[in-house]
Amino acid sequence: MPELTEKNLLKLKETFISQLKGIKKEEIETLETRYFGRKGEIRKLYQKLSSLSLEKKKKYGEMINLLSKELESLLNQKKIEFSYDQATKQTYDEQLLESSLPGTNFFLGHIHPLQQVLDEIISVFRNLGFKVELGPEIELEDYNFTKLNIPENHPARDMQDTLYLDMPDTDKGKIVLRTHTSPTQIRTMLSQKPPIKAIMPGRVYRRDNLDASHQFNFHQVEGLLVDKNVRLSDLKGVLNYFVKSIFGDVILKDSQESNETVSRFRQSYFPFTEPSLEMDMKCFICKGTGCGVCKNTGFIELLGCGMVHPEVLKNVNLAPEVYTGFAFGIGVERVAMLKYRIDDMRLFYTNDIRFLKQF
Amino acid sequence: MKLSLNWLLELLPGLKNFTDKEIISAIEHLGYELEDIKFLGKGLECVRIVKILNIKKHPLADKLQLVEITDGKEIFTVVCGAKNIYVDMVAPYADAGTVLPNGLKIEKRKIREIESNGMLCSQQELLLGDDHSGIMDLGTEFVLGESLKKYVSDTIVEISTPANRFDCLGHVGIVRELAIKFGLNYPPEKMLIEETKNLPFYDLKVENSSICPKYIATSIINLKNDFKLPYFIRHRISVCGLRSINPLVDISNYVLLETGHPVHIFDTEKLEGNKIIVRKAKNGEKILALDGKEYELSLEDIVISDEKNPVAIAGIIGSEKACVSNSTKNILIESALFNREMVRKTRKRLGIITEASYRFERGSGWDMCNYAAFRTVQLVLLYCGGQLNKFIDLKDVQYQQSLKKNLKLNLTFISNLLGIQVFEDDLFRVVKDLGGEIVFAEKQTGDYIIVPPNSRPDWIYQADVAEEIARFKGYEKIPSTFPYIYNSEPEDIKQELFLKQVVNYFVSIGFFQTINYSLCSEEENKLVKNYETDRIIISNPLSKEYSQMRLSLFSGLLRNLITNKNVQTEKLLLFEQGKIYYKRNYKINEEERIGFIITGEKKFISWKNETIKYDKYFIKGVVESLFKKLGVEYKTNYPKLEQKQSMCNLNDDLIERLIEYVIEDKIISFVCEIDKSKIKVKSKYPIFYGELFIDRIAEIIKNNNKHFVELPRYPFVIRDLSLTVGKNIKYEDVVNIIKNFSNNNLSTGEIIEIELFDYYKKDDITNISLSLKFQNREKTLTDEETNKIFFSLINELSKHSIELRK
Repeated sequence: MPELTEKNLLKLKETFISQLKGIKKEEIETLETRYFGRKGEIRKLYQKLSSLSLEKKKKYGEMINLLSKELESLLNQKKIEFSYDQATKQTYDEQLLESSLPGTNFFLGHIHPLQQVLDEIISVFRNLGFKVELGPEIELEDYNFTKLNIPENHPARDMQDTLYLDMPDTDKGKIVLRTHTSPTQIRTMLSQKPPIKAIMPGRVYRRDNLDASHQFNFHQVEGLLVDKNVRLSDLKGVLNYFVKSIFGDVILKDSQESNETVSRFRQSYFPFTEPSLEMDMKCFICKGTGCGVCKNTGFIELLGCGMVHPEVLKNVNLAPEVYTGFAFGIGVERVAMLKYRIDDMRLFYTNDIRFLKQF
Repeated sequence: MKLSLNWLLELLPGLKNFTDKEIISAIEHLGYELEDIKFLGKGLECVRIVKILNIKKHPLADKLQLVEITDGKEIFTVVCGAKNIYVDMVAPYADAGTVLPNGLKIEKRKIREIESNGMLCSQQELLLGDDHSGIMDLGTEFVLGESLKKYVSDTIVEISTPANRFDCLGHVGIVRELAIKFGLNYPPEKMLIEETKNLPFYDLKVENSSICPKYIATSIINLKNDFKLPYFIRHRISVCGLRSINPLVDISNYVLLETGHPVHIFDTEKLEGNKIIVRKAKNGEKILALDGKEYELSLEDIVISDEKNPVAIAGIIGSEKACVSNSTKNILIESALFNREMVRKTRKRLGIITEASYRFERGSGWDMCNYAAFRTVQLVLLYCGGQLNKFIDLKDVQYQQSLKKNLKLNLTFISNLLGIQVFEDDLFRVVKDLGGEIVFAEKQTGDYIIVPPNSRPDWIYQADVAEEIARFKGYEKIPSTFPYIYNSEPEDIKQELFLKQVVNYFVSIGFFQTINYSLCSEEENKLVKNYETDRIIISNPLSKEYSQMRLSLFSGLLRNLITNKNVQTEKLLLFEQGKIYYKRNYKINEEERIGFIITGEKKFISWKNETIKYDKYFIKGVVESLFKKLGVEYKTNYPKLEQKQSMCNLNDDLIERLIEYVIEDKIISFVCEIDKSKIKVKSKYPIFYGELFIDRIAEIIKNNNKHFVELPRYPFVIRDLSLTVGKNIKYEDVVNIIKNFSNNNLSTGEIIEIELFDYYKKDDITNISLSLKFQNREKTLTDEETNKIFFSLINELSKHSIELRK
């Protein structure tokens, strides 16, 4: 019998493991007796303890305990493995395949990505207290242009190429397909009293040839807030909230920056707002450091906005010295393209289900 | 508009302390959208200045020449095909091995047996302009052998100017703004000119000052126009997008690009008589313009006329007849203000857009009109020589006074509008530096009265000035705040929720939502009944394909079906929620609809071969399940199509097996099968189409107030019933008889559910099998009681020739 050393204990363990590895079912009892029997190896080890010093007794005692438990558990595991007969194993394998077969496919449909984005935009502004106002797509020139401070013989009319309808003129000018949802702003301001806080979603039309970034028919969500003491800074606040809601998880990811920096505002020109601004949002690809998508500017053009022009307020019988307001116009296709990184606007209207399925 | 940064720098030397990037960014933030930025001179290090010494014909090619050139040190020969070269011409030359900025690599090669070492270059090849008609003619101020880069390096920024900002359609306008932005001093443009001669002058007349409130005319005599202006002028003109023609034309273009105010030069020798008249054109009057086209004028146009004929369409284009040429000696320079709206109307009607019309239709400034005239005179005298004759300035003083309108401001109002504290300094800076005046200031109350600069008639309201202040301060200075938003009136979102519910229903049963253009072709609208009276036509469509408003959602969905079929997707469930547009009794209607289309064989539910067939029962189920869910009670029509009984909007000969769902004789939905031969779609599968009249259904739903019904406390009993049904009896007749029976026997026990589980038809016999659920609300039904009701029902059915199956 070898001496009681750590090395020998390890050796014993290794021998046990190698014997266990190739063992047959009928041999397992013999092995158990050889190690755990009354004259077994473990027992023998314990017997050796008696001749040692107190200190060593304690040390080796614990080691033998551990070893014994370890070997026992290995043996039990083997016993469990042997307890599965061939038949049960087969059933299990079969069940495994069966369980892994696909579940019933309910073949759900898909909501169009534009609709999804539209719904999301609407819900952001609803949460802020804006109401949804709808208006006709077939509009009067007066509401689409004149009341919005775009006189007939002003070059600003060229900013939006218009589709006209083949119908007799009315006392409010020609009949047009609205080029923006702003005429609904006019209708809203004419029929309601401030405070007015509304968004105007809907289809709009321009006389533009189809290409990857132009459509003659697309969707907008315009917004309007008219009250006493509405400030340009409020417009910034609301639009930053919007950008954060829709794109914040992407732009602000891994960034410590506040919502102040999700956007920048630039001077612009719209006849119906004064001041007029362009809002750019931080590029979600490079997070503002400059890349191909943002043409190295760090920002992506997002929407136009401004303070409602005093002339427009007068046109809807509101005194510009008393009331102020802001307005903005969001292109739904533009937001959807940025959100889903779609590079061709025409895809929205082709309705290829391989496209629709992705959303 | 294209801006040359060198030009800006020349006008405002203080800009040299700022980088190109800072200047460009300032321009962008001041409200000029950047279209393009070009760095001129890039890649021109190796392009050198040479002079042509001798030109010989290529011995082997008629169209080529052998050109002897020198760079001041050596003489060498190149082969050149350009026609505009001449001896002593100074031109740019690229050695073999040079790569031009347009990517062209110059190689040493033999052209028709003769070796050419390099190439003489055109403007376009060097990306210095659009001209590719010949070799660049540089002029005498160049030093031979030097790199061209030194002379042409510049940054060209193309911007788009807002439609209300005529004051910034030239370099001077932009410089004025940059000066404010960067805190630099830019003195206003003023020049004095002394008339040197007092020769007989034209009898000048403006017919009506409302068409032309200011007309400056001056003449210069004995000048020269048969040479080339210094290269830097021609260079600036071409990099800003115009072409160099002759000195006088170039000078007028140079002044236009610098001041933004167009001037016009007439050759006085070509004018007839002694009069210059600014007047409205006569109806039918004709003018052959500089673009070589003849235009017929009307009373709405303004012309400049000599004693006999119009010599220019005011503010738009000059006549061919009176234009300057190389041999011109005496000229009349015009700088004027024309009625903006009339110029716009005329150029729209005649379809001409020129640099001048682009600016005049936007407006023009009083002071700039003077400055442009002075500047033109100055440059002509400097380069073309000659003597200045009279300088006449016809002006409508009343109009001039009307430009000086007082504008009352309050700084507190402006601060509140912007959401940032605005100070007196901020106001003074923009007003004074842009050329306006402060006529009243009361710092305590914040009240001010100003006179806007005459270049800014767009300052009408306080908000206009607020914008200027914010623009120069920078919008980044304005904080982000939150408005106080409150709602006193609730929003009615019933219709919206209803629509959402229906859309979600379609998605839940496997339909894909599509969105189509609401414009379509005449052919597509022809599929709809009454299309000739109902259709709405676009008067200026882009194409026939999209020339009308859609009368039905069918055409869009059919397009989608074809698109998908073309990419091997033949199994389709599609729907669209959207409007249709029609006119009836002079009224335009926009109506909300949902259309849905079904094609393909069947829908697999799982690999265990469980399927749902796409057939007429499937499409009926789509509508009927929805109505059941919504609690809509309807009647069903089976119109005879050949007798034109249908109410659905699709043409009768397009459809088969039409079923209409109606409430109070009004159609709320229909489903049908499409006759594929009529729509030219080749498919082995049937196509089914249906529509929901959403507006009508929403109206019904609105009034459907749901009330809770107490839950039954006693168990139900099921009995199956197999019936033989007589002719001309519909399934819903059977159901209605049973329902009526049930309603009349509520006390004994009602029939709470009727379900069809078998249908059998052979020859004349039609059998249906129903499963019925009986229940009594007051007690548990016994077998005996159930049997009693059951037989009583059979008895009732037999009265309607519906018999128990034998």
